[in-house]
Amino acid sequence: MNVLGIETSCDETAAAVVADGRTVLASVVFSQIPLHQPYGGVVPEIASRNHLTHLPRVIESALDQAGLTWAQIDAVAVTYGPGLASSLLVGLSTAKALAMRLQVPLVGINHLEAHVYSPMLSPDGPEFQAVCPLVALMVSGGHTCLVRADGPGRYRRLGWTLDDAAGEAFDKGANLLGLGYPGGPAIDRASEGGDPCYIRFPRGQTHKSAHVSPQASDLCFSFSGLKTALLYYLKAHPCLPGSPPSLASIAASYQEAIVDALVERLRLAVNHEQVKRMAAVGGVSLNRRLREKLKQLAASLKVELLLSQPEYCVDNAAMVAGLAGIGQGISGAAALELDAMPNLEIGR
Amino acid sequence: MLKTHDMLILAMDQSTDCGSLALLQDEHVLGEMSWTDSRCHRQQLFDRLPALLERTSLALSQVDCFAVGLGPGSYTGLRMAVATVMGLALPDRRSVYGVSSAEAMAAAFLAESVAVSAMVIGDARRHQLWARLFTRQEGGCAAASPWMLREPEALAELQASAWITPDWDRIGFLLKAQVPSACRLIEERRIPTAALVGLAACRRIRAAIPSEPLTPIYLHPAVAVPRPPASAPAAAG
Repeated sequence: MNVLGIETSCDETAAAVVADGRTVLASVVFSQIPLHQPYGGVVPEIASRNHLTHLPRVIESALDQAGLTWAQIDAVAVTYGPGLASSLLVGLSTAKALAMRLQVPLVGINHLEAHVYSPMLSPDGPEFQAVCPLVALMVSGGHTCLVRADGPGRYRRLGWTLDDAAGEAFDKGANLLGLGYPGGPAIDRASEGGDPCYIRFPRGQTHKSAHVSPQASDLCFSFSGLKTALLYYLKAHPCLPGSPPSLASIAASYQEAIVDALVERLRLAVNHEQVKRMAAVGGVSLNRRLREKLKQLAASLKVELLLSQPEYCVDNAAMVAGLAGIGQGISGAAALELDAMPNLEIGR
Repeated sequence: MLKTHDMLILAMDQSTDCGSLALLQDEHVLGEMSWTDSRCHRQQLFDRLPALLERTSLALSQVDCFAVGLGPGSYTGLRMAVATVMGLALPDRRSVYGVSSAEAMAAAFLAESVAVSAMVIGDARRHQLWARLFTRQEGGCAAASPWMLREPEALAELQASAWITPDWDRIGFLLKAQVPSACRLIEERRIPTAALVGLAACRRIRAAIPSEPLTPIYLHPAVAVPRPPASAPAAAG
């Protein structure tokens, strides 16, 4: 079964063709990062305008690269949330039109569920059901949460961010450090050779609150204080070229605080849920320090670590088509009635 | 080049909250459906399209050309309409023809009146109005000015035989206050329907006028203003 996937939830215009849920025949991503770079973050109106301009070409490229004709497409899958409403609507409208024209089923896919599925995208990758139960750390520019997966379509959200996503924390920190956008890769590069223990930035401990259960509180994230701590640090320690602390050490210390917060809560979640596998998915999971510490955590807990291939960590349509290819998502008449759901969640 | 003889056109317009779809054979409207869109009901186009095809006993595969109203108007509605026609046309690379919704509206007005020109004026939000002058031409109308953005206080300079608007409910009081004495104000809402878009596209194709670029008519930049170049890093080493 060949599924054409479409993903336009944020600033990547993506299309992919996936066979039988795991074999990626083509995955094309038009990244809008250069268009948003001057603004230090994603501008929704720029994103949706460019999705409309580039999506048809991206879809045709995916079909060409897959070596298939339109007649060989068996279903069209599309992200319907969460994400930017105006961007989601471009992908959703295109997908509905294609499904109608091709007379094939339309499948609506939750972007977060697609990310959790992304480590399975390989012909010799694991089958989703076979690796469950697992705890997944979903970490990107727009989302940060911990999810328990008991199988396709069976998720329970364990923890979430109470303010910024980890990717936002990287972006804001990079902005304060003058490193540009996107912040994750910029801080990753800038921290090379730096001392991650030079400054002890806060690890984002969440406070008990009436809105979060005591157990969830331990598994929730908070990054807004970290950015403020960096701001105050830079005000109090104006740095001169050639004198310590180096930019590398500040960047490494800031990165360490984010990574520690993520890894510690993942450790708590894995212990609490008593699972034998954990996964890290989303764009921030490409961070080299995070990967290093996740591998250490997996070894110490004696659990298997599942990571997506780098091209499937960032937003892509292969994960959308893949998840639809194993029968997940909203289909049938309900799919044609789907509207964009910017605040869609997972496992609630 | 496209020929209009017996050409089956599927037209749509979502530039206003009155969305519509129409099927035309050349300049003959075979069927039309319209609805009132809202933020809670943005997907009605996809309910109506199968119903229109069923009512006219036609299939998407029979459509020769897709026509779409490009606005000005609701950016979200316009993007959905453009994305939809591009999706419908993509598999067999059918023609997609874009025409300004304002032109479609002006052409219909000029065809039914003795006015020689029509100034189409709409709400551009952000305390501005958009306007464009269209003049009568054989077989339709043509734009006689660029797109203009005006403050509400600066409307009186927009000279034409008549003023018409798709946004009477929101800006009618402004137009009443400023309409020039020699200009006739049409005191009702004029809606750019899919049928009018289809007819405008048909006439333009016949006159060998190419499609407008297939992107909504954006009268405002994409909001954000570029920041000054990044300063030196806060820390160096």
